[in-house]
Amino acid sequence: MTEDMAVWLYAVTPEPAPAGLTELTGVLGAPVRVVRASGLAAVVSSVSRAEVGEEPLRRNLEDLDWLAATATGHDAVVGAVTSSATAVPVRIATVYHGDDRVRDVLTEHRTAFAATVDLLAGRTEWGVKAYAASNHSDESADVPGDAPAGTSGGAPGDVPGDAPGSGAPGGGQRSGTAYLLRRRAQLRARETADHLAARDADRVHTELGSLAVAVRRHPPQHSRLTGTRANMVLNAAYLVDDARAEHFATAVTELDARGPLLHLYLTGPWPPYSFSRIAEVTT
Amino acid sequence: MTAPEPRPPLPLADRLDSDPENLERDLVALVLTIVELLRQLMERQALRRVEDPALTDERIERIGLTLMRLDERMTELCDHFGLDRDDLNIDLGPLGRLL
Amino acid sequence: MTTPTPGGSASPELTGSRNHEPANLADVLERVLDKGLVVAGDIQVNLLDIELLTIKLRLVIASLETAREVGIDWWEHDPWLTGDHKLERENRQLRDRLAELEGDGDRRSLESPRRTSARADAPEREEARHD
Repeated sequence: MTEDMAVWLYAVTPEPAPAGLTELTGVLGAPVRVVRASGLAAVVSSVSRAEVGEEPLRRNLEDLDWLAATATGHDAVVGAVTSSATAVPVRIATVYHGDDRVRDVLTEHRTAFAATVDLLAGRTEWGVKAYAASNHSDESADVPGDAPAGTSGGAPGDVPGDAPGSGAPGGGQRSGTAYLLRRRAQLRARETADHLAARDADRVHTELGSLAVAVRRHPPQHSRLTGTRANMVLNAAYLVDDARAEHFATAVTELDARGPLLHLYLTGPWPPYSFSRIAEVTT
Repeated sequence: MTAPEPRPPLPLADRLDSDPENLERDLVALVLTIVELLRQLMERQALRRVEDPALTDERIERIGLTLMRLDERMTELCDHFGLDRDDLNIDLGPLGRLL
Repeated sequence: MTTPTPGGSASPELTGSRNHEPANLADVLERVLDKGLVVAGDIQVNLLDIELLTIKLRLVIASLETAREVGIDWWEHDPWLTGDHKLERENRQLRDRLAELEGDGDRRSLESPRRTSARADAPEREEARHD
């Protein structure tokens, strides 16, 4: 192992590791290989410290392009492993100084890894996202008042209604008051809609959770990444027995069709990232 | 084998967008988002205040007209910069969206 | 959506390509960037969310300055926002003044047309004198 290389970890799986791993290409174009200890196999790549040393890593993680490419590459290897064996996925940028260090980690945490493998065996992670169906385009935006902006006139700082000739007292409701009433009604309607959507999301989560052996709720996603303005009210991961996976998928479809308030989306199957926390973790 | 040279980090401006026109638009959108945040905060506070029975109709009307003018002004500003008012927002990650 | 098959982790052969749906980047990132560690690597990395957040907050603060520069600064001049009630007080005083003058004017048209610059207490003295 040369001084300028580090070891990037993808996943840990019990021996014997599945065949074919060494044909894979991992992050930064590096080949994939296996490091073994204590009955466990660590799936790794050797990568240059120039990319994953502490300083460059911190910089690179803030570079969305680098992050996207690396995340995808990492996930591809992890997915390849979990598709043919039970494996514990590791998050990106888990880097070690050398193979010996990797072996140390395998040995040190062998009990915890074994326990996690037990939890994950024969199970798969599925993701469900729910968006509130309401759109808020009826709000605010163009709300022309009864009196056009110029009527109250004057420089900023004038108190509207006190300038001579402004603010018609006659006729139906005065425009400022009407505006306030309209806005209040709109905001209340939106609060109600948000509340109902959140309540429905909770119900969906509970119902789907009853079909899973473990659940994990994630925060709503960055709108810049999802590319949509819609309000995400549920973002959850479910660990489901493989034998029940089809039943789970059907339940999602049914729940989607049931309520007008939410749109549900199923993603998966995923490597069980959301359920891979092992009991002993060194920080 | 020598290690490859690490790439210098991109300046923040480039990270926002590589196209200068889009960059300017992004900055304007950011500015207007803050303005819109202030407008919304004021509006909500005003809506709470007008529940106060002690406020005169005159006062309520004045508050309403001010807010209405602000709302119209926001629309004008967005139109002027070619931005969709519904698009104004900032995603603060774990804190959710600003608006 | 792929139909799950039994054994291993619900998807077929080891092809090297991702077997699950090509979900969007957000789905992948939130999983591979999970703050909950499985094991800690030798190289410590900070939580990404916090760093992105810092960048965004800096942009927010900078944007307010930019707004002022392009003349968007109404929040600095609106008396209701600034809490500057000087204008309101002046208006109130002017209204009171006007009310006095109009009230005095009516009385004076009956009695003495010359006193147009009456002070606040003048009507009372006027009345007192006539008592």
